[in-house]
Amino acid sequence: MRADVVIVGAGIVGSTIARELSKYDLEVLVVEREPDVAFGSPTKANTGIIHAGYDDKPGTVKAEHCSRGNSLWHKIAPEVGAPLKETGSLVVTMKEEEVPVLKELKGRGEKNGVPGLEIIDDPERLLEMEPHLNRKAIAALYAPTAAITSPYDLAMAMMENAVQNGVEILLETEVTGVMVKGAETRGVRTSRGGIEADCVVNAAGLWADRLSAMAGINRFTIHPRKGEYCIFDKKLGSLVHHVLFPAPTPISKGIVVTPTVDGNLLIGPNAQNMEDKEDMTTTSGGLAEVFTGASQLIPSLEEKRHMVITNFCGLRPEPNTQDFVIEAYKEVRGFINVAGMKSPGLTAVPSVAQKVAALLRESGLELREKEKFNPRRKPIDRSIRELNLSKAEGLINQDARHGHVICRCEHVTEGEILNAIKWGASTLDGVKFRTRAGMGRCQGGFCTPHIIKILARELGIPAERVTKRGGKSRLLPYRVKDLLLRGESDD
Amino acid sequence: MRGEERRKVTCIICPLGCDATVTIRNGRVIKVENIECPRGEDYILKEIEAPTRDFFTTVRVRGVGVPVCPVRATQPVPKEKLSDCSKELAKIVVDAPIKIGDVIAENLLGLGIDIIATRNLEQIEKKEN
Amino acid sequence: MIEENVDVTVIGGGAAGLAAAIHAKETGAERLTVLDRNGELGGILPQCIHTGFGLHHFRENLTGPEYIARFIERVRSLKVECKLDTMVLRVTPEKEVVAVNSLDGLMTLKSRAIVLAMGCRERPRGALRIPGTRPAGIFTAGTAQRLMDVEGYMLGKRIVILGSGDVGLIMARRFAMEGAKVEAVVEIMPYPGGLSRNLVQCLEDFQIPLLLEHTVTFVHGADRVEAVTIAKVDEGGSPISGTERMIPCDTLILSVGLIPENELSEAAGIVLDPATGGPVVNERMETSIPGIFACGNVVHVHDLVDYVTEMGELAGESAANYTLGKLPPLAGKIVLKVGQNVRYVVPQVISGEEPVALFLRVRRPMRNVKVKIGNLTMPIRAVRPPETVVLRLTEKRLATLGKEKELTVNIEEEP
Repeated sequence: MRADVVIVGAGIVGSTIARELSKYDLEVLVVEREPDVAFGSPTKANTGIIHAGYDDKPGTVKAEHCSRGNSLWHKIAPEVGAPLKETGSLVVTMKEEEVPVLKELKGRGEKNGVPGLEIIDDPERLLEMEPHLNRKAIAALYAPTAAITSPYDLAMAMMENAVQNGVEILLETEVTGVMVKGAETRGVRTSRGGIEADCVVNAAGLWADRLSAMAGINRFTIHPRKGEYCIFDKKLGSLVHHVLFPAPTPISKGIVVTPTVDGNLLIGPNAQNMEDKEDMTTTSGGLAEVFTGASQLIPSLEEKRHMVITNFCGLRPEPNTQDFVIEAYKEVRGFINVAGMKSPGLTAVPSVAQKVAALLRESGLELREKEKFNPRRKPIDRSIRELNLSKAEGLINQDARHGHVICRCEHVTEGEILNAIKWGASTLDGVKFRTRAGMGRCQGGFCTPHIIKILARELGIPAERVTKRGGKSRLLPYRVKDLLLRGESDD
Repeated sequence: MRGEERRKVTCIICPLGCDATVTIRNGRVIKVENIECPRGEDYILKEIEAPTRDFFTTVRVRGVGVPVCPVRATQPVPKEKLSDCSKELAKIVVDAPIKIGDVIAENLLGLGIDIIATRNLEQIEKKEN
Repeated sequence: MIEENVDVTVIGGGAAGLAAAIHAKETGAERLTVLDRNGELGGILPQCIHTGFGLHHFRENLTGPEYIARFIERVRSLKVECKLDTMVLRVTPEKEVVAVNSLDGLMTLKSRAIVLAMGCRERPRGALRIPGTRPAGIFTAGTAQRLMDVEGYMLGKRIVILGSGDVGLIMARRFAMEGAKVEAVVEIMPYPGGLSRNLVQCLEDFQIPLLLEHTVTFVHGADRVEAVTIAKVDEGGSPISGTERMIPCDTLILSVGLIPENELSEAAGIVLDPATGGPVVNERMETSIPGIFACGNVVHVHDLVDYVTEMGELAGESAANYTLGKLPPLAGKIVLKVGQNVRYVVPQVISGEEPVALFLRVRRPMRNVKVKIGNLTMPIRAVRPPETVVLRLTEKRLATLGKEKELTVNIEEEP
């Protein structure tokens, strides 16, 4: 196999870079070890905030790209049909001593070019903006350009647009080595064979340090920092209107309370340093911490525990350099690191992607703009769910399967599921993250058997081979009577 | 006395759920304590001396979208034979169409009990097309 | 968009909906439609392959599929229209039902009466907030039952079941009969949630341990369940540190509660009873919106399908009479409130003039109790939380009730 550029990793970073590079006449190949885009933890389990950009110290790489990324997303998300909702954010303080922190953040933001920042110190106005806010709130930094999105929807949309524009992607393919000759990148070795390439972009998230070491660059380490979340029923979706932050600490932006683009309420994440990059366990301590933190901002959440529909956790890729690592290297020309993209990684990445293109050009890659680049991607039609009945009718006339509702809680139709499979979903989670089937109040109780059948049928595999998210996550390991019949032969 | 056993058995005939104490000698009940009605006493006697159970399971089906058909025994089977009945029925595969009451297996394990289908499968077959 | 005028729309083609449709037709409703989201009628019954159905209604001991087959056949012979694979998207207070399916596309059924028979859903793992991983191999009991006894799959070979309600117990037996090893049924309360018959025939028969006052505190396994950690709990239900132990398994089955499925009802503005999770209904099964009736598990979670049928028949008859102008307002109005030891009572509103069956659930197991409603006292030998208590208020009993507008239902234990 051969490509001009190999991008390792199909999370939000890899997908965004892929889409950026798909604007040029290049053969771009994305290599991802999971069975689907956005299955890696930092993208999938993510608060989904497009930050305004006041948090980052001016002069850092983060600061360079965060507020720029924010404005770029406002343009790109609608282009690729991904959700983006400008809610604005409030950093809320309840102690006098914290007010100077707000002022400092405002100052930083202004230096970083963030528009519209305002310190609101009128508690009445705060309560008007957020009726359920803790009455102890005395002031808040208001950032109107902060927005919310769905991180995996965004990544999947960017990758689909990239693929539309010629990018190829290899899923369930793990990079096992980087081929370097002299001071030049030669390509990568993978579980499916070697790929020749002059340029390799490292967007491997939690494993970026390991990949970088394969190329002989040992300048940083990534350690995982876990964050746990709870999602509430959509009935609480309008409990808050803005993304609410507490005053930040040195290590974390704090436990957030935010509406989601899908209408749920999300709280989290806490921050816990880990050793194991594969530890994806939620903990009772972590969940308690998230609840305590969220209840500081919205006290009524304490009585709403029974309205939690699910909880999950993610791992942030924390770089020991305390900043993004976006670098090219003389000693390995063509190898670009895009590592340590923890918060505000999601926000910054469209700007970072442009920088990556520049770094590639500097390292000798010719970037000729395509004439036929199509920035638009049509999202999966959600008319039934949105009860946009006239639009839905047109859809059903086109394909009757858009009238067959499979997920009762989120009103996802067979047509949408088939679309998701067409665009690469091959697992239950792949269908879930593209369509939201299984994310509702019954959490897949009704639709799971139906989705398994559809996946088996469309992929031409027996239902026993359908997995939750690839690998060993088989859902139905045996056919009925298998165990009884085996027992017989054991006798 | 030797050869005697005392056992606690809960009666399930009514919500009272009497906790009976039963004295058993050589597999026969010789005394029942703490049972408040004759139905309960009948149940306890049977449950100790010759316990039976309703038997029901599924059998594999060939040729239709639904791979299993639920079945049950026409009479209760001896409790200790439940597992054997299950294993025996696991071996067979039946063909659709099937109607409620169709005999799937006759005189299962020589117990003098038939196994009948409890679901109509024709209904599903048409839908699949 | 198809628009149709219908006399009675029945939402849900399970035991409740079919009983309602049949009785509505037999009572004289003409244009009738049953809508169901599944590919076949029957609701939950086709997957309940065990016996115990119909002991009251047919005086026979049938399996679920056999029980419901009789109603499916009757609905067919009455030529009642049934739309399958059809999802109701919205019910308006003006009794318009917006639904969709592949064959008809979108449709609005302008109904003169509606019968809500949507049944219930299962409480999922997410609502329990059990820490640990989120691997494949965690199923709610009803979903497991469908996958096993309708789709024909074996979910695993080493099973742990959380919750000792009847659905969990029945699945324990099914797993054991299909050759899997059920390691334990774990129950957070100090007493089991299911019927005694199921404790004996599902657990004792198969030597499956029942661990009372325990719960699952952690799920292990990155891709597929590999083990669960269980711990003893205190009176408040919180795990006691130091009592944890790990049970290796490949499947975790959750049987931790059924919730009446009332999203459509709520969106229509129908008043719900927080104690049942279902609509407040009067003795005709009418909800707070005149002309909208409800029956079955959508009203409260039943334990016997025979009572579901009874309730469905009543709702269907009421709905048909409503459309025929033969449903005069209730002769009186007595609101029933729950008192001592009573979790809920259905119907919540009665006239006090017509014989009515009251369905009650108690808070804890008790013996030799007296149910007191107003001046009426009825003795019962034993009551348990999983078993519905049925009180038939005959004319004689109604006469003793008293003339209050509000009566509290109390259950007192004899000392």
